[in-house]
Amino acid sequence: MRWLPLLPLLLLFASPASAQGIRIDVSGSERAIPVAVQRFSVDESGAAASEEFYQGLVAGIDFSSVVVHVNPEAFVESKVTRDFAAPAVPCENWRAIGAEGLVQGELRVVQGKAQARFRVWDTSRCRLLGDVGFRELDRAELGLLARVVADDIVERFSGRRGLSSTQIAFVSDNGRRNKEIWVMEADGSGKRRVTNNGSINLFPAWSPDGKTLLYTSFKAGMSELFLLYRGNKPGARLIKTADEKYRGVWQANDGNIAAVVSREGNTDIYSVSTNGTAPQRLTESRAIETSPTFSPDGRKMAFVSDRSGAPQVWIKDLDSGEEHRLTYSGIYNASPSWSPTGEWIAYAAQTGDNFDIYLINPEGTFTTPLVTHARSDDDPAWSPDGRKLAFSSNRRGRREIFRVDIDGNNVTVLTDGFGNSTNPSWSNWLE
Amino acid sequence: MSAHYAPLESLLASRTFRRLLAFSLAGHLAIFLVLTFRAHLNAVLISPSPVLVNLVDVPKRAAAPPAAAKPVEKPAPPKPVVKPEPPKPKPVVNEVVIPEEPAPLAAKPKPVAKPEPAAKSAAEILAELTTRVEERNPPPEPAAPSAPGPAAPIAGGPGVFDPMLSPWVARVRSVVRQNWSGAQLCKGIPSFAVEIEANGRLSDIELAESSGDRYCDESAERAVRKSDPLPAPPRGAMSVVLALNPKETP
Repeated sequence: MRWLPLLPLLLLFASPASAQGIRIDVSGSERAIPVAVQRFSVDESGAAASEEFYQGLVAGIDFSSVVVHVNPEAFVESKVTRDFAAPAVPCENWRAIGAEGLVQGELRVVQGKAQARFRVWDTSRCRLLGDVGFRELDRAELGLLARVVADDIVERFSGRRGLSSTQIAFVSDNGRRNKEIWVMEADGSGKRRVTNNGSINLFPAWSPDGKTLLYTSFKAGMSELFLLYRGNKPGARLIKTADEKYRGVWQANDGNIAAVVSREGNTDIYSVSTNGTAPQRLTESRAIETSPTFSPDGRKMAFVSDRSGAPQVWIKDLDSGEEHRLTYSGIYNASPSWSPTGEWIAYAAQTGDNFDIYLINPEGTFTTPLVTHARSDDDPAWSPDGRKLAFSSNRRGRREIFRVDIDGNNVTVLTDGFGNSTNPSWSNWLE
Repeated sequence: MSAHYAPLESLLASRTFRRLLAFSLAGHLAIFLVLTFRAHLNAVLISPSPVLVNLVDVPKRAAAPPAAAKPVEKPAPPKPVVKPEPPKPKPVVNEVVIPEEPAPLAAKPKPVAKPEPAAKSAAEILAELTTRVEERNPPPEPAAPSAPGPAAPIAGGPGVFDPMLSPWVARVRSVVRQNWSGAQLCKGIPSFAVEIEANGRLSDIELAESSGDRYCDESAERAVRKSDPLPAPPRGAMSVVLALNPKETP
């Protein structure tokens, strides 16, 4: 190998271009990826569903803020999918209008089920992104079907599932004296009341599969926990004892519920199953323990306890039983909410006369304010991807539900003109 | 006759005055000639040296004002950062070239191969050149010296303002930036080795360095492909590395 030392020199001659090259740094912007969405083709069965589906689809795509639909008035090609199975599409005609992607599909209604088939093109390289997608829901849930498909499409371009097929449950008086549980889409649209008992209903909590709401109600006189199934089918009272049950949340994914129960004058956190087994005590202190929230793996629980003299956030290791205090700064810290990615616990911290929302890592080594305002922000609730939070605030007078990105940007009110609204709970993806 | 002319006439009539006037004129003439002659001499003997100025792009990271310049700094509220990431080296954006160290050719303008009195064989010259190149730029692995890296490309000398290239670079930057959608997907900085033909067409686009995220890389590649053709390069076909940095610059 005597010639080996010559190699670098030979390569130098072999690629003179690289010696003349320069590096050009280009900066980015917040522009979303423009994607053309052709209306899904329909036969007679889907004709009546076409418009509602299309509107839900483009609204769901635009909600992502990563992908945005191109105005169909700009299309050179058809606005409706003509040949869903065509092996190729005229990508240059889509590129010409600035579309980096193309969505085509067909919509059918078969035996009461709405079915959507779709495919997604990268028009830049003129190739399909993934296989043909297929989704099916009851015809009555056509709007949700459109948003599920929208979130699929967003995921193919960004690797992140969109949030349009998630919902936020909350408590509102809607300008009246009683408080009912309401549900809205994550963008704040489609608000509907899901309880109607004229009493006080509080603390809605979605089950991990998004099919059941757990909530607290005074409709039977004292504070009790109830279930509400998808489609507004009322469920049973959860714990049939004489104790007062203040609030329940779902434990990670095992189907159990952690409930704050007052028994013999001592408020503690208990674990119960939905099939009515005897409650198992999770905290043993003589102080008041409330507001349980669980790590994504379900092995740790954060909660609020006043055992140190004032309400602070504590963490319990459910395997070892060890408990330690998490928050030390501030005199009153409450409403902890463990992020679905496990990296953060959001909580409300008293600053002066008001509360702000802070983030702290579960190790307790880093904390940072997320939402601060001269008035109070409370009740943080994570989106299922851990990129956004809902919270309640009285910054505009009444209590309202807001949404914020995890970097503190894009604070948006979701319950404008809707009375006093509190206790948001953000669902998992529905499908 | 006016009374004003009478003294002048009488002066000119004076012989002494006429002599003094002649001396004065001769003296002035002599001074004029000497000065004219000296100026000419200067022009011939001492040619004024032109001032050579190299305009250098100052790297942005060096532009941070010293702490003393801002004695009263507003206590910025702690930014709600998603993750306390380790501070990354700030990418230098407004630069034609980011020199790590001066390129040998620009730093030492003497010819690489000295004219040797004794004739050398081509093989000997090659061997000598190789040794020098290796001394200056020792390759880490003889087998992988061609790996494309963003630090490698250099044009027009390091950090030197290139009046011909700079406006074109600015246009390229602007075009690609306007075509880049989905930069918010990126945390890293994907870069592409791109061959630009004389007419601006892109003949070869290759991912030189991944951001670590496929979707980010794809968004950046779409931006590059969407930018085809770029404005024609001022000196004909050339290779560039386009580095797409998601961070917004002021």
